[in-house]
Amino acid sequence: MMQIKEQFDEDRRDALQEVVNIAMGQAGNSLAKLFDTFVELSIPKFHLCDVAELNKVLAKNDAYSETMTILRQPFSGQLRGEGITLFNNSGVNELGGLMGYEGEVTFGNEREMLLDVCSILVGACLNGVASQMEMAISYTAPTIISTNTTIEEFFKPGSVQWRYAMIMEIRLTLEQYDFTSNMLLFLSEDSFQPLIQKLDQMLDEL
Amino acid sequence: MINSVLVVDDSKMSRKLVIKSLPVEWDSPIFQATNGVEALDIFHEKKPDVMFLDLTMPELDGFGVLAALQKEGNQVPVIVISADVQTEAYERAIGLGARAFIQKPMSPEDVKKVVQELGLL
Repeated sequence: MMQIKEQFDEDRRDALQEVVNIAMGQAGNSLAKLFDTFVELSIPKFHLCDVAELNKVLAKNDAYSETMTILRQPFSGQLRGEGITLFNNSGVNELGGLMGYEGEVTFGNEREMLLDVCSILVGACLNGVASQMEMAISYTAPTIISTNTTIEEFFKPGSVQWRYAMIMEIRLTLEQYDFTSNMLLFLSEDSFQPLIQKLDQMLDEL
Repeated sequence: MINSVLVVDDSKMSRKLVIKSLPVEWDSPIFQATNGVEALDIFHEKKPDVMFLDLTMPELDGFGVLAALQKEGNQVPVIVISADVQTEAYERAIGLGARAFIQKPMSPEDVKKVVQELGLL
């Protein structure tokens, strides 16, 4: 693990964080257009850890204190991993109004909306990363993993398939609404080297 | 005439890219800040002739910097360079006195074009 951490030195982390920051801006813009409201963007946080430590790392973020709905969208290609989108459950209740549904939002409508929003966010974000790094990425359709869970329950030991996790933590908040979406981009170990090569190319061009 | 420049961004890579994009005619000191608080401190101390400003930053964001400068009545041209490409982000920045808005990912040509349009060359 130490060896992997050393490979992501300060310059490479900074470059990756900026790439994700730009991609997140595009995801935020897509969400703003969908909901017709301003989206507050956070500064992406970079974590590289053993998955056994994942819970501890993410538990430091207050955003995960309540129950959440969690969706997963795998991606593959030159970068492989999955986008995990977490919605606070109080925000999920606002989705119907935000998306212009009139009347009662059914279970089916809600699922559809969640899948749409997840797909837009992860798609915009990964497209942003892929285009800046000139890498090809393809996606699988998102699925809802849980509608009522906590971060501790979700990332309990053994729940994630990889040994190491490189996570970019992204938070999007809708101004004037109790709606927050956190996106975690997990990258598999075999993506680390191609990623480092691309980051170095970007840094060399400066 | 540009005697000094302030480049504000929490990303080192982004600051380097902005600096590399500055016109060669500006043979002037370049100051750097990594957040809004630092930016205002350096701005008041060094009095740069132009500022390149990111929006999403720790401590104090770019909107906060623009608001502070507007409150002080500063007329120094501020060029926002941001990944926040929402129409409302643009409108807010311009409303707070930014003279131009460049969307990230930016190219050196974007900076040259804006600098020319603002008559800073």
